[in-house]
Amino acid sequence: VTIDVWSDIACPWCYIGKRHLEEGLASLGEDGPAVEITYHSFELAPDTPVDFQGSEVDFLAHHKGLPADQVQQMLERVTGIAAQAGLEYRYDLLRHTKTLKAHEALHHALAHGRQLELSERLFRAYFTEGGHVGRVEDLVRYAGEAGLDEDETRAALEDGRYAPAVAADIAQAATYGIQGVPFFVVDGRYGVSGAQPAEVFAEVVQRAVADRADEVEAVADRTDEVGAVADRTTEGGAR
Amino acid sequence: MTGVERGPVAPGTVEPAAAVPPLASPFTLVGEAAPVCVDGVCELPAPAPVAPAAD
Repeated sequence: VTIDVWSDIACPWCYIGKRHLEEGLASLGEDGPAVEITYHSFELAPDTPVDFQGSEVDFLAHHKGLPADQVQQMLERVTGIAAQAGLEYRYDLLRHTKTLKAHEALHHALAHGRQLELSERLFRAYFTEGGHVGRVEDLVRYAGEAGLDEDETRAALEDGRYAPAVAADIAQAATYGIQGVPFFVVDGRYGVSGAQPAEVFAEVVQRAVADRADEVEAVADRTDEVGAVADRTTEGGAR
Repeated sequence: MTGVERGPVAPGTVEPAAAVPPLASPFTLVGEAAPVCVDGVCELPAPAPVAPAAD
């Protein structure tokens, strides 16, 4: 089963949704299906400068025009729900930044089989550690911690070789009508929008597995029918 | 809603946006309204309207 996830490192529901997805898959047990997860780029706030000076409250209040007290309440609610998912969100430390280079790093990690590791590392850096996920040098360090070669990562980020892949992901999200993240596509067939509970992910994966079994059965039935027709034809010809 | 079946999304094989007509969601959507981030704002979904209690 394939799961394609449109997500942004700066998206609190994406990290929570990631945990819920992992819990849902874990609930299927060791006999659960093999699942291949790929993260795709979605830039939530492309107008953010890399070195934004200010807090998350400042960003949302000044750039989005939201009342500061409403923003504060919003962040408190998100922090509480993150805690229920076992995540510690530290908005007091968080460094709001542009995530375009982080997405390039995630594509580099995908190409080297370390995307899930880097995704987790960047989420934790951003939401828990007050890390900077917009600058090349910081991203290189996190990539190294996720098992990637630091020199290769630096070269990839500096020459921008994954920028077209990031742009393609963003464009594809638009063609799919994805306006918010996280957005999960299961087996190219089912769409799951938002940080759904773990059981929703478990259910949709099981449904995808059942669909595959139905398709295999249907192909086997058709093969049997074709075989029976061929047998009758051969018998008729032999008479 | 009913979705249209599509093949799996293969990373790196997507077409440029200009070549793909915009679509409503081509997927069968699963689950109730859940929190998402839209345009930099990450809020809980609005609670479902509660029907007035019958007298």
